[in-house]
Amino acid sequence: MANILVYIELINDSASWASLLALRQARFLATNVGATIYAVLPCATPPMYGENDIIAILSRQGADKVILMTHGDLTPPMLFQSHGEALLTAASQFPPALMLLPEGPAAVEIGPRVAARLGGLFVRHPRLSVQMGSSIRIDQPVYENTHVRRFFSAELEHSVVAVVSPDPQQFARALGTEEAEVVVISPNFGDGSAAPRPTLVVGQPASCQPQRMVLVGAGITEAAEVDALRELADLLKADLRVTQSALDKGLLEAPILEESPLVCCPDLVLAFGVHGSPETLACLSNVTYLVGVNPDENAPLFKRAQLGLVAPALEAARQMVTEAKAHRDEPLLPVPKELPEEPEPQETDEGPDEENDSSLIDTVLPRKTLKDARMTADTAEMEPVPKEPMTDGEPNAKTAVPTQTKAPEAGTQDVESTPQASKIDPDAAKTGVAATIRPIDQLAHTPPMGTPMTVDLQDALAAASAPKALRLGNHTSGVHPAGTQSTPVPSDTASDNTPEAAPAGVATDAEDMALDDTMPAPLPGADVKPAKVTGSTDTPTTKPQKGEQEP
Amino acid sequence: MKILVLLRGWRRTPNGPLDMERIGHYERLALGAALALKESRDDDVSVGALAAGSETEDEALAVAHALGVENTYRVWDPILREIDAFGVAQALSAAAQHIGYDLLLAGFRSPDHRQGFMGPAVADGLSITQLPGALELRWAGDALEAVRGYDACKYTHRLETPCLVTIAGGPDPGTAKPTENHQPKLLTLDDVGLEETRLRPRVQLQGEIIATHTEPYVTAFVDDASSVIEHLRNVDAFL
Repeated sequence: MANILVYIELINDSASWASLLALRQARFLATNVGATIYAVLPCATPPMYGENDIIAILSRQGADKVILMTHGDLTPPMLFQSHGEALLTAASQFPPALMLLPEGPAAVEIGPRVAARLGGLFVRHPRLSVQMGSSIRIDQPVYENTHVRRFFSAELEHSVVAVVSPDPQQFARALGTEEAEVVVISPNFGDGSAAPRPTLVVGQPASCQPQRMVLVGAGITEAAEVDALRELADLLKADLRVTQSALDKGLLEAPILEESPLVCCPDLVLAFGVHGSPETLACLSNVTYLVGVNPDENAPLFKRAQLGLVAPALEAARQMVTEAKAHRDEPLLPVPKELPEEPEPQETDEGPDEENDSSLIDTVLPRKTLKDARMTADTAEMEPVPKEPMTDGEPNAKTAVPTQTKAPEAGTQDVESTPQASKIDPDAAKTGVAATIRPIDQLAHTPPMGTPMTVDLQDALAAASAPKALRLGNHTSGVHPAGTQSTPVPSDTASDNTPEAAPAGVATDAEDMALDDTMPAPLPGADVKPAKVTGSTDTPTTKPQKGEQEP
Repeated sequence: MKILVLLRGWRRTPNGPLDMERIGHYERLALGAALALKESRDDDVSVGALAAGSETEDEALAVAHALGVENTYRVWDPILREIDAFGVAQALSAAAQHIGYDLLLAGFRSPDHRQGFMGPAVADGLSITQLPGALELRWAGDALEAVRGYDACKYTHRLETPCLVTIAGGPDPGTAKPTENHQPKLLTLDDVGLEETRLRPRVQLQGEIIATHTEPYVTAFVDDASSVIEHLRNVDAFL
């Protein structure tokens, strides 16, 4: 297995929670079968840079590389004709053995048709597990969960496109510690002969639903309970919603829960006083993470919730408020402040990969270089594009050396300490010719710091679209049309074929994995007891699968 | 204007008989949308239904016929038993091309496999516009307007025909006793211009069907409310 592509959905310029969970699941699989994870990030405008920007987040969640695709058409709502084609562009550059799409709009809108275009296998909500460390077993529940359709990735000659809805408890921890490389690709929307895209009727979308909600059911009967739930919702930055039966009781006025699961698809729902009628459970079928709080341990809600608490609503809500307030200011996840020390770049004579058309790849950069780009724009220089090496046996790129650049050395501006956020240059994604931007100190033939330059980065990138040499000050840089470069380029294939060192938090020991159904380590921290249904005391985190039997 | 609805019989087990309802919820809604579109327009609109598979599918087509669908079609070849959904979609695409259509409708998801794949795959095979999961569908002149849920919002789209829309909401066509001895028009792969050898590579992608019970959700219970917050803090940065 070579590549795992993970589609990243943006909601309000942030990666959706479901996307991050999909990325974590991919990290788990890739670590165990030796694959490279590409987080595919289509967006209309380049992402903002800051202390905790999206590239850093994707790196932390396990991405080896981030494929950044910027185009004005990549705006919501997502359509196959735009976002799907962008994803197919990425797939053409980095042919996936497995493509993961988070449950949500992408899964509905582009997943099936992308699978069809790839001629691949499409599965929705499969159980993915590692089989003997080399193949991924794909079990797709069918016939109301009484059967599975089973595949093994090693036996398939086609790409697998999977819509996943990972259990957050099984993929709870951020896994990556290193910065991912950023690969900038121009989305290819075809030659215009494709079917026209549906036109969005002018006007604002209606009935927008929140991404996090505290859901109040008919079991909430006292004003004190409502007050506590309002406070909890505020602390969690969630909206209050009510079920129809709660609304009928008239205890509080709040928007009603949206009926269609296509519209009601929040990341998080904390349900209080909700028993779980079939109608309500149908509405909640697309919730990424459902927490149920109900004094009745047999409430049907607990058949749908990922996390359950058998307790009275008032007591639970007040305790949650206290706990949330106590930890409000604590950092949650470690944010790497500095790049790890990188080995010296190693040159290779390896030529371009003949199988992949690299003409769409604009830039291959460690993120920090992009981040530095603006700060060092006055001293930047255009270089021939390094070819992205791709082989089937490519080891996980987390161990590969991002050889296009090093972290800025002494003398370069410390962008980490620069308070203002910067942006990836939008022109970089539109430029027809690939370019690598290097901090000045790494270029042997760049002028010394302080030398006046006549062209800034914006102009340089724009000029790069022309197949001619670009003059920077009194230095001529080697800008070539993509695919015509002849100079040896640095490669990140320098690492050997040994499996990558496991990122923090990833279980790699054989004893941590059942051969047949490998799952990540249980969630640390919370005191979890087994489900009362089974009465087992052996499984500390979740209840075992009921009556699983296979021939 | 020709509307063609893609149907599939609803089975609760791999080789069992069809469910009493014969067709799934969303496919009923697709039929409802097609019939409502026909009723809401004065000029000539015909509604047909198309299925792929063995004669068991005739029961599903009989339901459609009883609800008011004029023409029903079934495309069949033994290889359709052995291939995956993409292969079946190729057969349906070829059959739709053979029959002729302006608007293709399909259920958002089937009740048995719940993939939501067939509609988009057929649209891709025909290289036509698609819109998945429409909650409402109506005429807008010669074009269509579809309301769909997307990312917690509702959006309205305008579509030109030919196109394919999968239906996730709208009017239920009601109930009707399946037409007895209804015989759809049978189409072979030869009829629709599709060679069996083109479908053969899809055999390996049908997968192995194994009887096993799986729980879609596994609930973990915690002892106290503070553990819930701790879970959320571990799962993501909510606070």
